[in-house]
Amino acid sequence: MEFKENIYLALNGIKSNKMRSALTMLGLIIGISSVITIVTVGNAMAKSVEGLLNDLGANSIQINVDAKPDENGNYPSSMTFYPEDLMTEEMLESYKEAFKDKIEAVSVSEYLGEAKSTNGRNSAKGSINGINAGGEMVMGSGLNILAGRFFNEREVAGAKNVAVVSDAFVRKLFPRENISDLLGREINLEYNGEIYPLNILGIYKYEVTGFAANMVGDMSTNIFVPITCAYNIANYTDPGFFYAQIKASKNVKDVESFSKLTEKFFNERYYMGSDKQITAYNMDSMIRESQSMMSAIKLAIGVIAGISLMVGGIGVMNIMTVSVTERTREIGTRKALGAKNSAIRMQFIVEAVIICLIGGFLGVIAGAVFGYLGSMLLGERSLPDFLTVMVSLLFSMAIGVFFGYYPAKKAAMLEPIEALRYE
Amino acid sequence: MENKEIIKMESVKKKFYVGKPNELTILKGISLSVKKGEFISIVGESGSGKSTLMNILGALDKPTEGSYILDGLNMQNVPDDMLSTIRNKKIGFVFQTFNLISRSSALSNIELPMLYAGVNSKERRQRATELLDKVGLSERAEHMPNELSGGQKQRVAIARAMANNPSIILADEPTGALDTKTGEMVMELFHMLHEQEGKTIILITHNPKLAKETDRIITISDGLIVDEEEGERNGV
Repeated sequence: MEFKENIYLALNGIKSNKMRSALTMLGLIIGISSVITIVTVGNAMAKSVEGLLNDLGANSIQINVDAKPDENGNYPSSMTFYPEDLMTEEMLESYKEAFKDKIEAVSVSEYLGEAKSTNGRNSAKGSINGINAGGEMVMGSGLNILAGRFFNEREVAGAKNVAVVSDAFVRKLFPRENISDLLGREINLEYNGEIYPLNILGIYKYEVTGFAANMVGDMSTNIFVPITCAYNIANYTDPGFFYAQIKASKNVKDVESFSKLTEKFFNERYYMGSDKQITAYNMDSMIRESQSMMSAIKLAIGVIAGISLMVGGIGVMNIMTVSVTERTREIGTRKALGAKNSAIRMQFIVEAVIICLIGGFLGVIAGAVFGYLGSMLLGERSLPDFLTVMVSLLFSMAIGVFFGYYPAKKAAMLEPIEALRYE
Repeated sequence: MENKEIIKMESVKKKFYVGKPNELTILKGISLSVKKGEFISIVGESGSGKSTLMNILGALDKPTEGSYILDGLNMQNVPDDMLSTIRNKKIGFVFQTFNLISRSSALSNIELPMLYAGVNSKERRQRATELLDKVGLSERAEHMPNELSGGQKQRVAIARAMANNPSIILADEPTGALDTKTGEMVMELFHMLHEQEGKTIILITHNPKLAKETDRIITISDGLIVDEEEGERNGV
């Protein structure tokens, strides 16, 4: 019964002196909103990393030709790659054979760079990307084909001049035509000063996640061609591979050790005396590394937010103490009318808790807003989760109890006679 | 019943800084008695000890020596942390400066002693409304103290003093902050409570003219009672 009265009285007090109440709560609002913002943005970062993982595909290993470090472990500052440095077709085939049960697919690609295509007054830019057959591993989980299909092994073997392009690309080049009508259409790719005609075999949906989601403008999307066709365009006579992506099959649980195995396999077959080596990367370990780094950053910022909450709590304590002094007369009157010390103490603790609860609530709202905006920048819109909000509100109340105790005790200890005399 | 002694003080002394070199004796031996239903006044100049006496009467303080029996309860036996309960149940305070709670309505102010007595909200509201009506301010129930005149504030304070049906009403210079006319009105209210409700009222004042309106006048000076006489208004 009395508790309800105290709550009502506390709200009344806050309402009647809005400016002071706002200043009291300010530290707490800042502290809580920082915590909420960090947690929300952290959640978004985690989701975006997850998205990256899906993009590249879990269970995937990337290998590329790299410079070999010398005896001291130093890498050369610059390096040139010669044809003999590249991985050969035979190496890949023997690798596929050796680890048959561990590999789902191996994809090699040859990235040529930007090319331009024109159609009358329209033009579109694309990046020529030659890959071997299948394309299941392109973009990690495969492309979303809207029309047509991806090229097959026969077309790769025959170095056919076909291309799989994005919907963004064709929409720029053929603005008023239906996507389904564009299959088989010939496009001219201008690359390195020469023009190469290609037929559209398939059109995929251009999707972006993460940072790229916010970049607008003249996007250059991938133009996928058979790798043999890419070699023709680039005039490679004895092609080797600079980069390959391996998708491990589902039964491989420890991708990281498989990644090391792969590296060892290739380097054993690498020609002796070479100053180059094969390096294998595994997204999982990189992601885990960045996650632990993010956790460390979150912890550090969390500590800082915690300090600001302490400061906010001290602010509450100071203002409450001033409030007690200002209401000395009132406290004396209440005691004269029969209030026990405990009743007075309870009154002021409730007031402190209410102020902190309101401050915490406002902090949650502010934090959610800033967190949402921050997460938008990461491309993964996030809101704070329920548990974090509850913990923050409970923590605000705890700060109210802890920092309100001293002024409340001070009020309870006042001598009624002296308090009544107070001017 | 009519002759029941509601207050009996015997040789009450009050000392401050007891045992220290600057020990001060404010009350040097007060003996008085008040019967139920009496309207008495205690008169004294400032420094006479009347405030100290009032504090002891009002259970805000305890005597250093001597005994104080309030409505049959020997205050000597009451532990210090129980004093607030005694005040709550047996004393109704009326202050010179009203001392209403500024952020509560008139009705809530009257409810306050009942709140501390543990009375449930419905009963509180009902009794407070009755009391407010008794002092003639029903239409001001939801008004804040800063929306009331001095006289109205004091009337609310008087209603508050009666909330728990106390043994005595202790009024410390109740008209001190009011103009003459309003002061008279407040005194009329005290008389009404005394005559119609049979309330025991102790008026503390330095104004002898005011004291003359009561049944009995006790004069205190330099910590001792120096005179006791009858007032000029002995009942109606």
